[in-house]
Amino acid sequence: MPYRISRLGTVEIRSLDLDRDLDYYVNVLGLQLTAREGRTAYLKGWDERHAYSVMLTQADRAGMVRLAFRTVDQEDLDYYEDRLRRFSVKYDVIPEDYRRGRALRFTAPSGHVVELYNEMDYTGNVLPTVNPAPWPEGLKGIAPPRLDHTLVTAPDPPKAIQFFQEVLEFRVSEMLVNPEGVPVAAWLWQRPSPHDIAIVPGRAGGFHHAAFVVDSADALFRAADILTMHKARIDYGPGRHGITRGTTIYFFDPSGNRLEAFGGYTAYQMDPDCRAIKWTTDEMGPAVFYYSQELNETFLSVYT
Amino acid sequence: MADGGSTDGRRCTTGLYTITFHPLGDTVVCRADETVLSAILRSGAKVVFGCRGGGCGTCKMRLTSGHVEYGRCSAAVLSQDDKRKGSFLSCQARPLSDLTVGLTATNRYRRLDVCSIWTAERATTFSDFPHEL
Repeated sequence: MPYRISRLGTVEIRSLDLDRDLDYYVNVLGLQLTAREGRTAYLKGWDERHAYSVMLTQADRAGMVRLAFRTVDQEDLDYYEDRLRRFSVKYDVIPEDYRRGRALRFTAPSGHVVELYNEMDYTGNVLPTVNPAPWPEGLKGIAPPRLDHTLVTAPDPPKAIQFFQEVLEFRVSEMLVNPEGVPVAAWLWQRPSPHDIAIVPGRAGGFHHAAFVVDSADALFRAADILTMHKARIDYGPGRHGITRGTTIYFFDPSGNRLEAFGGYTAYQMDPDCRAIKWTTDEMGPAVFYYSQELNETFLSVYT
Repeated sequence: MADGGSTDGRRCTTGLYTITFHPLGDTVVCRADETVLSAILRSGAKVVFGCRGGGCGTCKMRLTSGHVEYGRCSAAVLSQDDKRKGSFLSCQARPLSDLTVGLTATNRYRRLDVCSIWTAERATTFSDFPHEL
């Protein structure tokens, strides 16, 4: 089965105060601001080649507006449109959005608005394409190179997990199973990395976090320093996940949305026939927070 | 104390207000320019809180008397109706007067006297230090 989704393309996050939060996303998180149109600002990591990966939109609440996956090819959109029809999933065709081409929009059983698209303006990263340096100087904040994944909550996780597996053909890299053997949470991939999206129990449409790449232990600890210097609220870390093996630090944006700097450099690479790793709920502590071996007070209950 | 008063509902930026927690009777001094949560944490007490950005609603508390400026809060976790019924988010709310807060089990207010124990130990240790360097 070929993989048809190249990455988590965009997330749209709600902001209670766009000016304030934009300052944080640019100077503390360290994303590149690419445009601001009305109530939405468009941002991306310095190494991302397309116009944007994060939309920050003024709203009366925190949380996620929508998430979108970029398909590998144009024809993959037609492929998915056919699958949505076949599984009787109601969807809308969005002819275009800001610097983006046609998209399919539907609501997943988790309650999230999900889009699939292929075309977005190719703007290049911040480096030249001829004889580039390995990284740009003068970056601000944590400065992650790119968006990595998102974790969302669902009232009926097995149903949501099944939807992503069957309709969108994601594969499970790891799952958390209860004593009855039912998966209560799953980490799902198409790009050959541990996950593009993960689903855990919680409210319909809940946004647990969006994660950005940091590519070394130095970068992870530097992220912790920067967050503390700016008095940002750190939820957990620096630490490591049992699930995915990734290193991590969780923190909140000023509107209370959880973000993660994810050290995928310690994770693994998937082969198409990789089989799911199973974690049992009695080992949930080290599964989530490997070193402390227990969940903190906020990880499961706090999300937007 | 309500320095300068706040009967007109306007914030006194230099004042100190007293927050009394029922049913414990604990009191915390809160500056007019800090949030209720900051004052609680500064006092050495602990309560449950989440994002500290007004987005998740974990730190919601019930005001039984006094006035607060609510700050920026998600309408999904603190509606106008919630405010009318006395709820506020402690991570965002700043006092406009002395406050009385009715604690519930979900707030998990507790006072760990770690700070004063540590301070006392340190004081003893310092007094034992030889003065010559």
